[in-house]
Formats: sequence, structure tokens, C-alpha cells
Amino acid sequence: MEHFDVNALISSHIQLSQDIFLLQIHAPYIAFAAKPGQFCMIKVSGDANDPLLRRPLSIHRVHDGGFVSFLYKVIGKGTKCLSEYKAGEKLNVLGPLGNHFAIRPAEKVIIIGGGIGVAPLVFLAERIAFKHGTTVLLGFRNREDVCCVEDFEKLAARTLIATEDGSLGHKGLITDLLREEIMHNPDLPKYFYTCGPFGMQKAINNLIIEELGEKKAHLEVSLEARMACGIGVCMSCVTQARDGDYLHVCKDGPVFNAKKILWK
Amino acid sequence: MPDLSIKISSLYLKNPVILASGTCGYGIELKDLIDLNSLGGLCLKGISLKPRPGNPPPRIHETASGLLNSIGLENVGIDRFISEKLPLLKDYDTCIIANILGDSAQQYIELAQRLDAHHDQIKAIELNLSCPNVKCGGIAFGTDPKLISQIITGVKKVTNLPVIAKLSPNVQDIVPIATACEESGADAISLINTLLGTAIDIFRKKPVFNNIFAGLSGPAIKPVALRFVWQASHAVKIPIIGIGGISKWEDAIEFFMAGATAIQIGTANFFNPSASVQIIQGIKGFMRKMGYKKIEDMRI
Repeated sequence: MEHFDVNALISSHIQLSQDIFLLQIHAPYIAFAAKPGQFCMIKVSGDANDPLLRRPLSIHRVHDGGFVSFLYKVIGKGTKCLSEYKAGEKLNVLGPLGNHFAIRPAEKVIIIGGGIGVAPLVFLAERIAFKHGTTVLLGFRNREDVCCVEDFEKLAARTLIATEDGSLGHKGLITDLLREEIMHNPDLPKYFYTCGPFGMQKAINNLIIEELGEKKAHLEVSLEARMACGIGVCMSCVTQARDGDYLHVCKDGPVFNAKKILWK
Repeated sequence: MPDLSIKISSLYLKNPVILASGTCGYGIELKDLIDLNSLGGLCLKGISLKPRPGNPPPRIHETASGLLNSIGLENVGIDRFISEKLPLLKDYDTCIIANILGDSAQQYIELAQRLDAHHDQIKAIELNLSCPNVKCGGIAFGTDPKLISQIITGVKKVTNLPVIAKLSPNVQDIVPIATACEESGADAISLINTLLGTAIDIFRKKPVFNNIFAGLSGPAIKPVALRFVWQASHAVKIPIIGIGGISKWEDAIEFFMAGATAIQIGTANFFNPSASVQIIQGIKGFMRKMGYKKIEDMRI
């Protein structure tokens, strides 16, 4: 898989809510090579050493003209530093990295996103070329965290929302929406995609296996891990596989067949 | 034109910049990002007789200008290293250095013997005498001159490849250890490996790492590494390969001035994969500007 280390110009950087930002860079090589589910490693401290490491961010979308966007939430020092960059400045970006989601026919899929984990799913939805009625389930903590709804609606997706506090859409968890879909849909799609917190993805995996049985459950999950390099040399970003081995999130993933993962 | 080439025993390097073991995988992972042929050498991921799965996560923790790691020497083992990894590098013109680790002197010897059969590709063997992360080995070797001598003497008997002893900084005094390496026939010494450190998760009131301690690397450790290189290079005649926090060409020059013959780039590969190539250019530019003809001319 080819990747590039570029100094990219920031074309826009917008604060969408209190801690969610949309960053767009001009990086034609990365834009051309990128596939849904892949990520980039971004140096957020210029030539300085603090923070030392790059930060992995999944590719949110690619746009005509060689633009790549990232949707991220400020959760720590790295993302805080990144949020201070302004349009017109340059960022060192390495990508695209990792594997990607398998593209399936639109009528056969359900996309399930939790929190800021929805970011790469917009890119996936665009490449799947949604048809009217393709289903997207989105779960958030509250109304403040809700994002990407219009992006999916523009793609003609049937977009259902759950918030934990009930401030928007269904009050409860995303698994409530998924259970409903599975129970009330006679010709249920075959392929499920998720990205979001580990616990949420675990619950979705359990639910799908419970309702459809191990054989019929086809779930692709996108995992997150602390990474130093993003290219498979530091060996720090491991998650445990069901067979006991360690999987490297940056190279073996970030997208995995849910059956391979040990959901502890 | 300055001449960047150096010699370590029978080993010729076109320039003194080597990628450090554990920071460049099996080499091939970096092929899209840098021209491997431009490097002086590549120290590949440390290899043991049996594959090692490594430690459970978390394996890294960022610190001020540094990085704590507790990877646990994850590697594919000597068999797969020879059958799968080594062939991928056969068309590259850089010096391939294998890094080995074991639980006993016998294991180092067995590994060296296996690697010696591939001397068409492998140009030197680096002994990891220092990894502090594995409970059953590592630290005991690095702190005991007798054990180190035993390993080096044994390894030298089974191979003609140059042997580089990679030393731990987690010792009282490096001089007796460096001297033991020289006396038992090591062709060079590389130092330093990571400094033992730790970090606490204050909200969980627990150490960050399952093993409590982890190895510190990155720009934060450079002054300590430089001091070790100075001490070792003043204690022994064999070449010293300086490692520790080098991320810019200016750092590399400091190491040459402190007595290093060559340097290894480690953690910098993680945050700037092009660091090594930029450092080679920087060294060349500095030597030209200052009128140095050879690397050794820079030594204080």
C-alpha cells in the first residue's frame, strides 16, 4: 500500500461545536490513494518535540482537487495542539495508512457510527454510493456531540439517531436502534460496518451474533489504538485477537473482521 | 567533498547513519518513505530463537520530548526472519545489521550461528545486551561484565561477522562494561539502549504499564546518551556507535565530537520517517562548511 509524507497546506479549519473540528488539507497524492477506513499520522507540533509523536486521524472525506478532510474531537494534548492550526499554515501529514473497509452493494449494508467514530463512515458511505433507503444508525452522548447527519442525509440515507440523554432522536443506545432494525426488517442487509468506542463496537458485535448467529454476522469494525509510527515498525498499537495473537491496528487494521477480535 | 564513509572492523558503511533496532521494523516497511540505499545501515528488529508475542497493551506512553515503551521484544523469531524478512531486502544496497537477543549465552550463540550462514546479506550482528522489558532476560546481562564477556566470546567463536555489543545505560559505571566488551573481542559498542523509567496514571492510581517500568527514548535522553558515548569512547579503542535522542543533524555532530564513529536514529523514525535522510544531508553540509574531510576529524 503506497503512502506519502507531505507538508500539506491547510485549506480550511472550522470549529463545528465546542470541541469538534473539521480540518481540510490540500494533499493530492493522499487524496488520490485514500480508501475509506484508512488514516493519516499528523505532526501537531511542527518542528518542536512536544507533543513528540504524530496523531492518527481517520480520513473523513476526500474532495475533488486533491483535498482531504479530517473530523476530530479535542480530547487531549495532541488534538488540542492540532486545533490551534489555522488555514494557510502547513501540516506534516503521513498517509494514507492501514487497510480499508470492503465496499459492498448499497442495498446490503448498514452503517453504524458512535460519537466521533462517525468520521470515516462518511467517506465509506460516499464510496458505497448509497441508494434511497440505505440505513445509517448514529449514536451520540448528547445533542452537542451530534455530527455528520446532513452528510448522510445528502447521500439519501435513512439516518436514525440515538442520544444517551434523549436530547435528539431516540433516547438510549445505538444498540436499541440496531435491535429494532434487525427485528422489523424482513430483508435485512447482510453487511454491517461500525466505528466508535470499543465498548459500543463490542455491544454491536454481541447483538449481531445473538440475533443473526455467528455464521450470518458480517461485521467490519474500525479500531483505535495508541500509535507511535503508523507504519508497522514500532509495534505499539496492538489489540488482542481471538486466537491469542496480537494484531497491529496500524497495519493489520484499523479495519477488522469483528470475528477476529477478542472482545474483552 | 567530505568523505562520510566509515569502517567498523571489516564493515564498510557509506555513511555513519544507521536506523536503530526496534524503530525500523524489518526495514522494508520504510521503503515507500525513504531511499533505503541512501542509509549507512539498517539495524533490524531484535530477533530471538522463538517468536515472541510481546507485551499486552499499553505498550507506549508519551512523555515530555520522550517516549516510554514496553513492547516486550515482539518479533517473528529466527526462522521466519530468515525465510520471510531477509529476502525482502536482497536488492537494497545498505548494510544490514541483525540484532539478536536471548535468555542465555547459548541462545545468543545459536542465533549468531544461524545468521552467519547468511553473511551474503547480513553484514554485522548487534547483541541486545540490555533490553529491560523482558522479565527473564535483558537487564541481568547488561549489568554484568562477566556475562557480557561470556556471550561475546561465545558469539565470536561461531561467526566472522563483526559483532556490535549494544549496551544498557542502566548501570552504575559503563567503563568496566565497555572494557569487558573490548577485551572479549567485540568489534564495536553501540549505546545507549533505553533508560529505565515509569509513569503513573493518576486517575486510576496505577502505573501506566503492566510491567511498571518501561524504556525511555527520544530527544529527552540525548544529553545522557552523549555522556555515555563520551565515557565509553575515552575508555576503549573499538568504535562507538552513538544512540539516544538523535533527531537532527546537529545532534549527530555532537555525538561525533563526543567520540562516536557512527550513530543510530531511533525514536525520530516514528515521528519523522525522513529524519535519517535529512541527517545525512545535514552532516554532509556541516562538514563541507567547516572543512572536515572525515567523520573522525570531528572528534574532540
